[in-house]
Amino acid sequence: MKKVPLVLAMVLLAGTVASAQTTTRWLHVKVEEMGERAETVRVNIPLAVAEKVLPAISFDNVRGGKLKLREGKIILGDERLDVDVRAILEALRTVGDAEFVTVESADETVRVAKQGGYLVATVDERTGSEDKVNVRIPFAVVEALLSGAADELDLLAAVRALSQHGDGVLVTVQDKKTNVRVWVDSRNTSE
Amino acid sequence: MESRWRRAGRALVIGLAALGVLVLLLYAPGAAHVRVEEKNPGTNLRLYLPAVLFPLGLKLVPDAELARVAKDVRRLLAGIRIAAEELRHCPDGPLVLVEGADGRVSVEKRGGKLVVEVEESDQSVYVSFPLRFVGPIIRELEASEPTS
Repeated sequence: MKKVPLVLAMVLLAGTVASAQTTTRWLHVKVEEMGERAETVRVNIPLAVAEKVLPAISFDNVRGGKLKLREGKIILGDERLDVDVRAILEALRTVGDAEFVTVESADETVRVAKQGGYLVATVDERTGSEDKVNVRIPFAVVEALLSGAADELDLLAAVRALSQHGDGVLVTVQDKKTNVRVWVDSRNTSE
Repeated sequence: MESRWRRAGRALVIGLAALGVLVLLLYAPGAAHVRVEEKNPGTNLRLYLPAVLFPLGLKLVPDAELARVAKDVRRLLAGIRIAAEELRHCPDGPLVLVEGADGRVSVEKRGGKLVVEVEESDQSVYVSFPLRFVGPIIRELEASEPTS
């Protein structure tokens, strides 16, 4: 009989651990348009759903949860990111915890760094436009992105890494008319 | 005469019971609910249909027509099917919410259903559909795809 409370306690503990492990994590996107046609868009996606859906998505250079790079560049439809993303990420992987790249021009300052286990990128506009872009991605996610072949980014591995990481804001974009925020947490609502 | 009425009554009771069981069988797995309300005097529509009929209904659609519909959304079918199946295991919550001067649109997972609500100045639309029937419907569309 003395074993009953012990067994009950173990069952309770197991239940707590199980529920903690199955906590759903959500990727949130909030876009606020200001001005005359003010509009707010909120999207909340369970990371578990994104993880399962990604391999089924097939368009442009995205196949099987992987993004195929063209000469190191991301090309999606008409959109083209003209930097060798993989080369930059690979370079960041090898450096220590320090500021890595700062590009200053008349219009903006771009800074990419590895800080406290995060890839941190900021773009500050300086021509009075008040545009600001902040990206803060756990480096484990960057490592996961690079875990595939040399000419691809493993999006699926990145989502998996993201779901194992703690809460946090990933991207914020602010300008006069728009605020964008992308973040991950365990809440099923934006706010 | 009396026994004839008794027999008719018994048949009526059995008929009603069979109808009740049929309704129960049709609606128990879940129902699709559609409600359209125009705010100025106009059309108001309310439908409450057994969701189990949708995959069955698709079997009655001519193959060519189904294949045409499937072709237009082919790239999305697998993703939608998997998303619906995975969402069933996720906690309830809002998935998409758009609010602006023109109105409000929300897509929410609520109690095993996908609920879409549109509020505009002149009308409101409410659609709810059990997630468990999205998979079978998509599979019907996928099966209709031409192999070439």
